[in-house]
Amino acid sequence: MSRSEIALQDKHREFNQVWGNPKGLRALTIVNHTTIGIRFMVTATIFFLIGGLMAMLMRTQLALPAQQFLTPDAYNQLFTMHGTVMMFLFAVPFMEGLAIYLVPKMIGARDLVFPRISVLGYFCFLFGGLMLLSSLLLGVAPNTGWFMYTPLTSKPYSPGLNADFWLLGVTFVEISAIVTGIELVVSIARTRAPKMALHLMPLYCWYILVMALMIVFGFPPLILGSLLLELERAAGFPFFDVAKGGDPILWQHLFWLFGHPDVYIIFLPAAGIVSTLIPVFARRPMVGYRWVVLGIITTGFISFGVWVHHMFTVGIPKLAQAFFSVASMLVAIPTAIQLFAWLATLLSGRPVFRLPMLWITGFLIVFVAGGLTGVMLAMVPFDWQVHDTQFVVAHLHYVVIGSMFFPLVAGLYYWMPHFTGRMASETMGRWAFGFTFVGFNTTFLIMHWTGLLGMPRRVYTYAPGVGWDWPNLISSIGSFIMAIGIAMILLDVLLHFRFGRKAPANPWGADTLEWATSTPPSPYNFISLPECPTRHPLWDYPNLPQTITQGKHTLAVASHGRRETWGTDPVTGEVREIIHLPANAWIPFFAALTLAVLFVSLLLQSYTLSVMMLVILSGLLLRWSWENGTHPNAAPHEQTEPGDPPLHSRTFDGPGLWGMAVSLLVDASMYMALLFGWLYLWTVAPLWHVPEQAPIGWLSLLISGLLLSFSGIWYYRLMKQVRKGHVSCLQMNLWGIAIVAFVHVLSLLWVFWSSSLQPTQIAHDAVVFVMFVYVLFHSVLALIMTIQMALRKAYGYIGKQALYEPIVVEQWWLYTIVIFWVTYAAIILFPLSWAGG
Amino acid sequence: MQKKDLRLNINPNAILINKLASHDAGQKNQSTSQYRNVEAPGQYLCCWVLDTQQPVQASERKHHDRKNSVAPGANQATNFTHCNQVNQTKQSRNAAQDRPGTNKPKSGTSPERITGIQVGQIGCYQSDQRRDREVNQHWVKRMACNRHSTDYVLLAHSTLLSILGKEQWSRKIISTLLLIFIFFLTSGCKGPQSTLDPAGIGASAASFLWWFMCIFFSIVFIGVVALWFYAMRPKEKTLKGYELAKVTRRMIIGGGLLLPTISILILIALGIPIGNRMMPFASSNDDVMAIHVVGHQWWWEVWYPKERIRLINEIHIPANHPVDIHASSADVIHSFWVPRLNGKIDMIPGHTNILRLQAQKTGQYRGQCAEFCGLWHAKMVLDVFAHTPETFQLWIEENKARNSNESL
Repeated sequence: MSRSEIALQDKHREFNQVWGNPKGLRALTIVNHTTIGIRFMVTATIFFLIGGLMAMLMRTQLALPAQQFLTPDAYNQLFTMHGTVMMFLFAVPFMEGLAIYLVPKMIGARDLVFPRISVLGYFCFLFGGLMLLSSLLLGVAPNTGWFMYTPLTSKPYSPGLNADFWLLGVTFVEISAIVTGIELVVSIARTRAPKMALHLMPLYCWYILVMALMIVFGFPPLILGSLLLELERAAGFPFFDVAKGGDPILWQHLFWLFGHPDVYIIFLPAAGIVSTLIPVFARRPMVGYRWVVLGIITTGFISFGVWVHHMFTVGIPKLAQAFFSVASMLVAIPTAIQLFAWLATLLSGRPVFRLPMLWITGFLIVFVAGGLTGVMLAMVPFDWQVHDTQFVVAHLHYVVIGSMFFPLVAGLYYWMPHFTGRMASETMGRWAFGFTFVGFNTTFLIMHWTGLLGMPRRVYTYAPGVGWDWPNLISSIGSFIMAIGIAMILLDVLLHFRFGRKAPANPWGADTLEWATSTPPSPYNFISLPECPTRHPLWDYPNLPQTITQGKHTLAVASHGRRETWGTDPVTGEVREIIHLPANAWIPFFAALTLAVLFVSLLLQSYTLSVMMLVILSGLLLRWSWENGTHPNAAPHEQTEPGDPPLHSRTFDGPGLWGMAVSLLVDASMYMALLFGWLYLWTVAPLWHVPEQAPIGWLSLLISGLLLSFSGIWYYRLMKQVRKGHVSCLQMNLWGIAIVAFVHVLSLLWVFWSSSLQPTQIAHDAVVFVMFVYVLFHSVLALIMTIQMALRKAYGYIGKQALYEPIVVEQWWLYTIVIFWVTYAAIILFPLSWAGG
Repeated sequence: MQKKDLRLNINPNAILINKLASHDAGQKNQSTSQYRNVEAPGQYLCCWVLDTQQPVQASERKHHDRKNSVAPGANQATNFTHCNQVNQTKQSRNAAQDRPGTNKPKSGTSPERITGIQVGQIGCYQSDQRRDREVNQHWVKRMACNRHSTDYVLLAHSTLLSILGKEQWSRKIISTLLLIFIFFLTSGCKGPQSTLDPAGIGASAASFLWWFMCIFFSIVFIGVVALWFYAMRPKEKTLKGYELAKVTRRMIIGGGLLLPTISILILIALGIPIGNRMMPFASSNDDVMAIHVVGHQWWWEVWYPKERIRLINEIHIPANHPVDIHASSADVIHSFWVPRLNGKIDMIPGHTNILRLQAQKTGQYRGQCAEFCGLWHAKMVLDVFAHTPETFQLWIEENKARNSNESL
């Protein structure tokens, strides 16, 4: 063994000490994105199998007319859980898991930018999923459809725990989706390889970026809706109760405001897989890169303007129907651009027909068919006929299975050698494809017909002689064929661990950076981080994998004990700082566990326990944010190598700024949904009424707001000084701000106390109440964070060298001021103007 | 051999379904109103007869020849269709013996059958036929089914086979799939709750829209899939320079921008007038009858405000006369849907939605709740009976009298 090889081995040992994954119970502390990504995917697969089993049971029940195989209640629980499990516990988490696994490797980073958030996300997903599924074992699973329409889900019509399981479980799982979404956005924006400008980024990352942003905007309306409905069920706040001034249609708007973007949240990452695989197998770069990027972004935008097409039969005004109908059809344009860019790539390349391409072909056929029936459904007159029939069931399975499952399996076979270092069997894969494809089309092609023959969805049985007997039997047979296909994929994956032949390096001749790691990858991905001034690094620099392993590129040192990756400019990809990442930690796991107990306590309505958990959770989160920045647990050494830029905690430019900004987008989206609900009820609810005397005094609230603005502006001016490097009286000023903020919080509480709100009596007061709590929450958090900053200054974690944390908090302050005044306008000024006009 | 078995299995069952359907309809009528007794079964059988008259076979044969010249592998599929037709003829002949009267409409309609009505013409036909007899309308719809099954399948089959022709297994899979497909197209669009067996103005419009979109999008679908396989063929070299630019431009501008844009424009041009036709307009007709329907878990409460008649799970309306259903709910959200008459409208507590029904002929139409409404959602069924004006008047008088007796 030569000297250089020994040196190389030492280097790897050194990196493993810093980045390595512990075994045993301590495996719960692992923050590494490779491990977390695989955990996400494996867990989601298990949930997928459970969801699939439910589908089998339902198809068995529907195989023959008037069957007694399942009771109606069991059937209702099954179809509700099937939808919920597939959407919330399989499709979204699996795609996020794959992104967590791939994105850092594709952009040449060592980990995601907030590794502890990944752990929190995973355990929220796991615990939330288990909570949802436990309801099935207890026999009280949600039984009102995955769309949970009120008033069927409100207390009088669903008195049991069923609906609560859904509302709380899904909210819990959504926390996971959202935190992961935030993390992916910031990672893609800030940790790309040096010189990887935005227009050089792999297409997959573009897809993930847009998907993550869509999660950021799309999921909060559902969280809000779930919270409101749970408040209605648990405390009697009548948001959706017509008799008290609410409106059940509001729920539908909030649900589909999330629900439709969700379809694209599932589709985009899968299309990202397609856009990654096609150039590799066509052996040429993607044609029309810019067009595709434009298509992805347009899809993201349009998808937020089409939710009403799920509600064409609700009795929406004609003009609105026409608008949403056209908007829904417009989605076809960006999708067609991507489709034809794929076709152009294949046309101009030299395609090889390997197993992943077979699945991509299946994707194309199924997805195009599903997309076309989608355009049909956007035609309002036709939708009036087939809405809520088996036709829609067929369409949505064509879209979801076609656009998500087929590319996913293609991706699975494509990256299998990367996950495990072994190749899966090509023959078995082809058989699995045959069964799945034939089974799928047998099941769902006929189902269009069943729907046209008038069979509604969500019926547990049907009468013989209406003409639905044969199509249903064939669908059921097809579903079992498909199940065989899926079982074969699983078998193939399991067997390949034992029998799969060792994968060569870069087995498909791919162009993206993830194939420059070892397979399976080491926890630090790359021992040295290369520059990436091209879209196809491995095609343009074929010996890149070797030079990376030999440590010939940057940041090839770990003796300082820090986990490091590059922090680069979001647009140009120029290096700006070294981001040092936190090491393995217990806190995220315990935070998720506390959250789990909190949600269970809410479910059982034992509110003392809830309060206890809330206190513990706050403690954990405060501790979490304490071990940050310059805290010795986060950054053991503060010196960087000569010539290297500073650590991010020593700049004004850390990823935390981005993290806070994207989190505030989530927050804003939720607030917008609340504001929408307020205006919607105000204008549309049939029995809406406003109490004669305004429940909240305008003057006292104005004074409270002035106090808030005073402290906020003080903070803002202080940060101006900090940016210039004046830190002499920082701690004094922070304490001063905290005192004013404290007085503001007290005044807010007093306003609240002295108000005449009757939130359980009229919807108007219920919404005002929620807005009030929302504002209060933000003020209190601003206060806590300011105190924390003052303390950190006292402990020396913030100082002349490290001034970046208070600037992160500044954004929160400004946001709090804005939403306070918007709320003021909405609940005090808007009603006045309404009355005046 | 396999195909032969399939053929034998399928046909008796197709017939069985239809027998059941007609049987069902006839029975129900007996219990509710007398005059429908003769009409309902006749209606079903008459469809069969019309379907299977000789002109159809003639046109089938023409297809035969064409297909033989295109792709030899397609034989089995055609044989099957052909055989199906023959079987149907046999069956209908038996039926015709039972009810000779139903044979009549055929003579007047068969010439058009031979020339084959273009899809576009069906729409015109529908507007004409408003003043025509109900039977005519019925077979136009049926015919649309059959025409479609032959033409479309031929096209799909030959295109796909010419692309994939070399591979034995793919040929087998495709022909099996197509066989199943053909079976469903030929086994009928009818059914007591079928949207493709319309008997109302709204449902006819929606059904026309379906057939138009189905054919249009089938062509798009086949085109895209064919292009995909063409693009996937093994090639010697990568395109570069001018050729690449040409392909890119054609694909992205032509396929990505123009194709969907033009399709959308066509659909909008077609959809807006149809949507208008299906909507209730206060000004369009002063003489609209109002019926209030309130959804309950899991039954329908029907109320005639002017006539003061209350019914459960059944609605009686005059045929060829517009009726506005004022739909609301007493508990959770339901959806009012009688597929053969018009699309659905949700019944929401606190809201009243209006749906216009206009049956184009007398008969019994099955309806079902279309929005999931809890435990027995699947059992929430209702029947709509469309009467001639005279019988409807009789029915009103009778029920008014009964109602006032009851209230006394």
